[in-house]
Amino acid sequence: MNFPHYRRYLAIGIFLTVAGVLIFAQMVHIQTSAKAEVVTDYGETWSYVPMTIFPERGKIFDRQGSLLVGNQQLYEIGINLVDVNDPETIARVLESVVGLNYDDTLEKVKTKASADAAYVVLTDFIPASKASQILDLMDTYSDMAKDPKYASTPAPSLDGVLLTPHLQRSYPEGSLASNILGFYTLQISQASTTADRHEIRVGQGYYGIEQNYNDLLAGNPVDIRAPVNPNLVDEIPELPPGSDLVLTIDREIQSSMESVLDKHVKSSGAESGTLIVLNPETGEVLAMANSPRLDPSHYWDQDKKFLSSVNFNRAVSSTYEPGSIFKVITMASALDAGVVTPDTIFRDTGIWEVGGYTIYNWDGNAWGDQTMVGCMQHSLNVCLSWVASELGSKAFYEYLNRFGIGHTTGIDLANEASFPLRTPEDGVWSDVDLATHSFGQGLAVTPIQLASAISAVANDGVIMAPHVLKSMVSNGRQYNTTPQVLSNPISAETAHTLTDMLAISLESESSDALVDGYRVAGKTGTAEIPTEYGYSLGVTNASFVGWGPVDDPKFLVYVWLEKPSASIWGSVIAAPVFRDAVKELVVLMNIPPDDIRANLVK
Amino acid sequence: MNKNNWTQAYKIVPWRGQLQWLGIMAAALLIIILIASIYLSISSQAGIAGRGLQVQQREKSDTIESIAQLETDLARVTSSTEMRQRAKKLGFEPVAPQDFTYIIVPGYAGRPSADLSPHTADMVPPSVIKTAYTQSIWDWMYSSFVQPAYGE
Repeated sequence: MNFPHYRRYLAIGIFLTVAGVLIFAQMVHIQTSAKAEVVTDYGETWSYVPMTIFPERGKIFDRQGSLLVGNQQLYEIGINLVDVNDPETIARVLESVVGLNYDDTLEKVKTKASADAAYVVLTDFIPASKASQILDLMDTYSDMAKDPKYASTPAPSLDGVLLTPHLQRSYPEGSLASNILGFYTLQISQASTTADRHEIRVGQGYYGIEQNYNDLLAGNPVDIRAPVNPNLVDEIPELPPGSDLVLTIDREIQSSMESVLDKHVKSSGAESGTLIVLNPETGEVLAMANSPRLDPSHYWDQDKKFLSSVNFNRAVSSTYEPGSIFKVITMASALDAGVVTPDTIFRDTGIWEVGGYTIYNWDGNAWGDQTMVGCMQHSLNVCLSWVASELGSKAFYEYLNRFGIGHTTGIDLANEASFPLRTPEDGVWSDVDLATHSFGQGLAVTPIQLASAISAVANDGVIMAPHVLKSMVSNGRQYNTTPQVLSNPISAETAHTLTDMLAISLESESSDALVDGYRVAGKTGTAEIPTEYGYSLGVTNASFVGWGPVDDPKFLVYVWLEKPSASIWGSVIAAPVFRDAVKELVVLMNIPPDDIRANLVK
Repeated sequence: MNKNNWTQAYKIVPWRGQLQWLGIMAAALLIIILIASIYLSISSQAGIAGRGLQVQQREKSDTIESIAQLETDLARVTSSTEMRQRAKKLGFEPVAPQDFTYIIVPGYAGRPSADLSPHTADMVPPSVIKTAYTQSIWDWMYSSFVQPAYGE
């Protein structure tokens, strides 16, 4: 080539080409070297935000489909420190709308923004109505800032205030059935490592349904890495919500039973009360009332409300000596074994000596010749001790085992308790235990355990597994539970005979448990309370268990009032609770009086 | 014609050769600019769509929370306590057992239990984002132009 400056152009060309090749080579080197991985990982870390996607927690309904537990939108209020312009206005507004302390808020809002403190949480669980007030004020102040009037003096500003919505459990019925439902807590933990810099909202169900079915309600959370770069946007996975649960509880019955129980706990001066309504034919729990109850939307008051966690739902978690209502089990066993009949005569001398101990009747008197109906009607400890001895310890404890005494019922509520039953196989058992167990002392049961056991007498000798879950709705399909037989401890004939005996005994003593128009069967119980120094004097547990209508039982009601002060007797304190409960039940369950039912059948 | 004559006849003048090179370089530059423009255009569209998607995902989340809130609000105003108070205000009273009149209603089997199963299928829907928004331009070109040649 011979054009001017050819060599210069050639040199420049070669230089640029070599430089280009070197740059390219360096690019390849950066992309492929070992050190490049560190840089790539660092870039990746800041390109994605790790997130845990939680499905909406499943809702809980009563048997008719009324919402018992749902979800509601609550707000976290925080401050993005770097954006704050007017700390005083923020503190003033949050004091007036949310009730935050002005000085505390001002101090937090005035915190200097730094790498470690860019965002400060001021409060959480603020309802949508209050959040809406703050948002309205933000708009107002924003409009004011554009107004020329504020050109010289700056308008008030809520810049920096952030409202972040999140779902939290809501209880539209307040404290209704809170002992059954339990509660759900939402804890927020801040992950600290750079690679895992995100908030984790950790929720957990406690007690009752919320704890027992926590996994079903929670659904399946998914961990994802969400890209910050919109060019790398990825779809957030579509998560099905947690399963909805339909309970066997009837909202109206539960509400009514709680009212009845609250009234009687107050009038009797009892420390607490428990009332269970079972459908003996299916084992469905229609109501399970406790007094006192916790408001689940203020679950943090739990420790103030209850001395012990077993008190949250005494019906399943609290064991106690039931006293004379246990005689139903003893008599059922003896009748079923053929040891006695309703007409068997026992001559009551008022004392029964066994194993070096003497058993007395509740009044210390001798009642003379009594049929088995009389023994039940007058609740004679001596008679029942004799019945148990006639049955023999082996058969007696075999029956107790079949009735499920000493075992949990397996009810689908969290924290079910059971107290071990002393039996002849244990080293600590003695002959007197047979006598005391026959009338419900020296052993402990939960209300649901004894209600379930006695439901055999109301259901042709069959115990149906007590349960609270009626159906589950998952992925758009409803799965209904099927009633399960738990045990068949006695024959149908025994069950009918004992039901009739107990109905007669109530009628004979004109019990406070009787309900006009309906024939019911039942048994009272008054039990002294054991302490480490022996049985307490003048302090009792008053109980009543009853069912009806006797020709076709549709409900079984179990009542326990702890340490009543108005009277110590179950017949005085607990029987009226049963009566008032049944008066409500027959209306809510559409059960006509016996005579009308007889005519309807005809 | 001998060989030299043929060569001489088809040999272009130097300035034509240089012009051809210039033209080729200009065409190459044009193609590069074109590809870069397409890349930038599609990238920006994908970015806008991505941002829109993030906004919609947020809106969807807000909507789910609003629905939950509305369900709760509805349950609150129809709660048993609320309904009882409203009934009392309107002058209703609970019926006593003796005031009932029982009649046989053929076919009536009592209050039905809750049936919460929706009539529509509730399967988890497949991905709703077009693959074009999640692929690189090369993947997109490959799937759009090369793959159909084999697959369609």
